[in-house]
Amino acid sequence: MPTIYTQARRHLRITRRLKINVLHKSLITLAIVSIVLYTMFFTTTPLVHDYFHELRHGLMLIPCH
Amino acid sequence: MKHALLSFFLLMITGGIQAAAPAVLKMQTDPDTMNVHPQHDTLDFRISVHQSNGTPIPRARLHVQLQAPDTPWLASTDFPVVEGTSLLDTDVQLDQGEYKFRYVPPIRGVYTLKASVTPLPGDTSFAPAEQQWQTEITENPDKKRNLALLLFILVVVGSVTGYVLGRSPVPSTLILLVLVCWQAVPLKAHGPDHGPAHASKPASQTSIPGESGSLDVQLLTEQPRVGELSSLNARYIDTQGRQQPARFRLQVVQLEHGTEVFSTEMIAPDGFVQWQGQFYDGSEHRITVEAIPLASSWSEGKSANAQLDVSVASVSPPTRSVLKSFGFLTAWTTLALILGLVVGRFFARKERGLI
Repeated sequence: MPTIYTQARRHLRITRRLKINVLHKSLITLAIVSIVLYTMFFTTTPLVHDYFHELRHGLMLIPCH
Repeated sequence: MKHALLSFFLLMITGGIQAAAPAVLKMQTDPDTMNVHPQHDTLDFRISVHQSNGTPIPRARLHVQLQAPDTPWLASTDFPVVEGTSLLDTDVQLDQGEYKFRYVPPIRGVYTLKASVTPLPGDTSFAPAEQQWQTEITENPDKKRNLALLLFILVVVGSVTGYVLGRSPVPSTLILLVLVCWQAVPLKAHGPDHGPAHASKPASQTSIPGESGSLDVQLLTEQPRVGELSSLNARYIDTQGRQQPARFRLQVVQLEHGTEVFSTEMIAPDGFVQWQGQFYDGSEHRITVEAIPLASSWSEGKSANAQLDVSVASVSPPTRSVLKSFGFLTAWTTLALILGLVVGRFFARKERGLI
């Protein structure tokens, strides 16, 4: 049974071997940033919307109701 | 022939005297619009009507319309549904030659105020006239600072996240799938887009008897919505059940922040006023109407009051507005990323001695 440390070492080893070109790295970065931005500022899911409501109204260009 | 010419000139002269000159409308705002920012400050509008010789016209019919700014080309405002819509559209009677109202502008941009004045029946002292003014409201400096801070954070966070994710095995297609499917979550904080109202509530009505009569306030719009005008009727009835002349004070308070978003005073010689205005925030509002009989003084206890709590249906921002702002922020991050890549590649080549 591998421990969490051996599992982490395996992941690190796999990650080091991965070859991702600059374009893919850029796309992944943009996708993650987009998800965060959309969730914080544009989603209409009540819990998220209500939590960030005041912040949204304080940023000049976030559309609200 | 001479008689005919003389008659013609006499007719021209008398006709010229009888045709009244059109009224002159002037508008003033207070305070200076440079110091007024959306959702934060109140702006007083004062429309005064004069005859061409400068004499105030004490009584006349005035139609007032306030138009919200058009959609900005680059990014959305806080209330995109409000952009380009009518915020106020009402008929009032002039009070001592002027009409005033107080308003909290909802969004930045150029507001258009239109006013047209028509004489009361039997009044030939002036001819109808109309005028249009434009008032620009600038964005709150605090919001500009917050946006600058967000853009700065995006540059920093974007590059750091890119560095970390460059070593992650998470496939980018999965992330994009989550991004696309996020909208399919059935829970929504806002109501549906501009469709018919689901809840068909009867028009609200309240009547509170005062010492000098009672006041009936009726909201004619079944479900007030952001982006649409709502109509309200108010009627003052004295203790003997007769509709009497009164001065109406109307106040609209947004209850979430306790902010007075609109207030005005209107003269009603027949004891009846109709007001059309837009609630630009999809939340609870309280409308307070006070009627003071014109015959009595302004002393306390001589007025009738009525309150009406209105639940304004919120509307999801249009997809176009969301895409515009979302696209702007994403494009900003992309540009920062490209710039970082170019600079990074330049230094990497320099270290290898290629430059």
